[in-house]
Amino acid sequence: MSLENHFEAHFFIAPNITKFDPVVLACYVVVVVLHLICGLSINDCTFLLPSIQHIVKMTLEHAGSSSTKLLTAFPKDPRTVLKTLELSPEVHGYVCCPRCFALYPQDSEVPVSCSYKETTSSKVCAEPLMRLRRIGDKTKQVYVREYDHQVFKSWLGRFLCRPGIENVLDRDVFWGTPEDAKNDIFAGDLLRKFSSANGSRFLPSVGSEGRYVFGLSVDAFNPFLNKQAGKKASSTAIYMVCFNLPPSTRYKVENMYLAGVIPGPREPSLTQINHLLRPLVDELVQFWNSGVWYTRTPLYHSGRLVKVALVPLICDLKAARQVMGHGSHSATKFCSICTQPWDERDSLDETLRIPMTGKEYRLRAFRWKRAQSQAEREKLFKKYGVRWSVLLDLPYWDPPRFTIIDSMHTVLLGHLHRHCSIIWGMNPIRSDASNDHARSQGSSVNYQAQMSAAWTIRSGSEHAVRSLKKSLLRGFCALNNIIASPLIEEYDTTRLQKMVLEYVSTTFNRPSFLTHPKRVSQGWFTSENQTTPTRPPDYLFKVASVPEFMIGRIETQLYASRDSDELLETTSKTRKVLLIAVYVRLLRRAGTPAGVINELVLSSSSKKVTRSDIVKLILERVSGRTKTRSLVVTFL
Amino acid sequence: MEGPTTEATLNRDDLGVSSASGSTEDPPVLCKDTLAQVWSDMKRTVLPSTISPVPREVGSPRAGKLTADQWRTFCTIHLVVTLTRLWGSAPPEGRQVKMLDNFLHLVTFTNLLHMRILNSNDLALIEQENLAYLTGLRELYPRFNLVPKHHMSLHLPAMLKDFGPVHSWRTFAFERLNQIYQNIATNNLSGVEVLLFFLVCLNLTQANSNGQFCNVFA
Repeated sequence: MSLENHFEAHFFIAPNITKFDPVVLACYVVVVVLHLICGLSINDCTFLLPSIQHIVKMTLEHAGSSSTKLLTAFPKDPRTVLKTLELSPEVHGYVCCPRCFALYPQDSEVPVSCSYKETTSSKVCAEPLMRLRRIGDKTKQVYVREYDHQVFKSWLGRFLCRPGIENVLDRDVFWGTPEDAKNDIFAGDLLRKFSSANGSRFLPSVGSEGRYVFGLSVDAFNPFLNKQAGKKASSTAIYMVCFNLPPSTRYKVENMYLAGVIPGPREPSLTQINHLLRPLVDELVQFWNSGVWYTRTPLYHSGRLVKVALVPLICDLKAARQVMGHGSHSATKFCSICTQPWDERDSLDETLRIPMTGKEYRLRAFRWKRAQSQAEREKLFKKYGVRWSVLLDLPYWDPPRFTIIDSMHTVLLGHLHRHCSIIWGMNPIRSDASNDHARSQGSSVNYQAQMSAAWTIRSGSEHAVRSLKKSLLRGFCALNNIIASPLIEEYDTTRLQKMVLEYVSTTFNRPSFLTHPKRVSQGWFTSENQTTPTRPPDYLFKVASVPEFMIGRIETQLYASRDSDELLETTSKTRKVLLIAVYVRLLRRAGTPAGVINELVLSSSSKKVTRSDIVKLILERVSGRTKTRSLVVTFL
Repeated sequence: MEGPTTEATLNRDDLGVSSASGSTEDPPVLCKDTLAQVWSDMKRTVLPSTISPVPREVGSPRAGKLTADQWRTFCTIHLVVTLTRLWGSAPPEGRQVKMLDNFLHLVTFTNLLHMRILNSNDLALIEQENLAYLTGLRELYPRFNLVPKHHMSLHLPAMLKDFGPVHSWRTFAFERLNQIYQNIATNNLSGVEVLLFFLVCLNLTQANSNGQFCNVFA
């Protein structure tokens, strides 16, 4: 056995903690818990420590003891307490390239800029790894981004040395599983038949050798909480869980191994995650091939060999694909397990689901890795849908079989959510069996923008339609029932544009839309006009987009008030546009020609016309004393 | 005045902002009236304390997004109670009964999938129910395509065979851990400092569960 595999575990058997006087230890624990868990700052702790010391001193004096041994054990700084309690884990520090996530160990020399090359013919990344930081009037060089990897060997050592853990881990995992009743992962076929490097069964362990099965999970989360107004960032955590523990204690926080947290705010993309898994995989390879020798554990005082296998990869769909190196679920090869093509994704035909074997997968990934240039890699990926993953360094790793499909994301957040929200269109505002999905969301629609967009879609060029915002296209499609409303969320801009243009060419008879009879009758064009119509001024849209109910509300006020002063007072907070809209309605009711109304609206948009002017006009209209023509004259 | 008239601008129907033409083949199902029924049934349903309850006005913006577990409670308990009551006695050839049947296949599939102990009979049933649900989905709602998640679920029985029941290989536990980490006060830092902090906290928890501190306070 080479010394490289040895791991000094004596430290864990007799931790520093046993050397303290119980009184001192109790005080230490109080300070540490307040600092780490309750969030008391270091400054506050520096007040707390001498206070406790003083209380102890007074208690001693009260008891009549003159011993000062206890009092000298109190440090001034809480960080000293943290250090003496030996709570800090063993971590390897790395410098992480902010662009490509390549790692450089901090204990050897770190280059100034990133020297990583994706393929032999690619350019060097060359992103600077250091930056200057000013603190006061001093400047110093710091690393742009760091990554810490908790050493698995040391974590497992500490874990094994916890009282009682070793007994539980070494239980016969196959014991108590009835023949035809699967109650845990060990009842599954995979681990029952899982063989070690020399071909014999990996489990159950033989003699003093510890054989443990771990599961890996890579999961992104927002370190600033998922608050609406909060910062958007994403950190990715790498966890492992030990399956040898019984299910009841397996997922306790203190029993799970956290390899590292990939710093945000950006997630590593595609194969970049391989860099960050590398330290962990290197350790796992050693744990599989030769095993690691712990020099002393609670049950084996002369040491024992431990071997570890990583079996399932437990992630959501997106992260799983990234870690295993498979293309995303919208790629042509969308399934990581079988070879069903994207065009047939709708099919339930069993014969299409031909599983991919681990060997095939490995071969394809190797070809991708060996490719000399980025273009060649891209070509291979297009063909096979597979990239290299660092986990393939583990000789037993079988990606299609070991990557699980998470039931929570697939069924609970997939099937159930889709069935209720999308297929059944869950919505408490809409009345049943009516298709006014879009109108139920009317409060959030900007009508002015929507009408202006509708104008563009009807009369504008194709280019103008293509430059419309996605939300406006969506609104148009929803309001005209071009796409079933619950489905609209799934359409991207290109598809929406296509649908809208198709709709325009069929409904509005686009090729000859300029001479369309309806459009002529609406006065948008003259019958011989072949040019594009001039777009009406925005103010018309603004007036037109005033919701009906608001006009109605003001009209009620109008009839309720006696004279102009009272009306002026009640409408003092009403916007001018609203008043104009009310006035326009009155005019239309009286049968005023559209051209005159248009002119009037435009002239009243100038700043010279005040709210009270319009109120006066409205009142005059109501009492029917003034003719429209003269009004326009008074405005101008 | 030449060109567009106010009439044209002011008339929303002409601008295509509210025309009501178009297909209405799949009327939405879980709407005002049905949801009101579901809510009133939910009020009267007593759940065991081990089941995570669903927000009172589920579906409304106020209730917010549902968690995975709440989706399960909502679909496999509340919807089953109400929809069976509402649709169960409808004419057997009608669409409502077909929709109910289809939904119940999904519910059975979900329930079986989350069983703690599975035998080979269950495995066959899971596959069968999922297929029945997906086939029905395509027949009843032809406008909705099957998505990759639907395809992936067809591989679940093989996973169950390899790894046993889902409780040992689902992401629930890891998401919970994420939440714990999110809630640790970190002075708005992210990255290495935070990792170290997590780890120190973890070791403290470990030491605590060892009972190393217990004798101190005993």
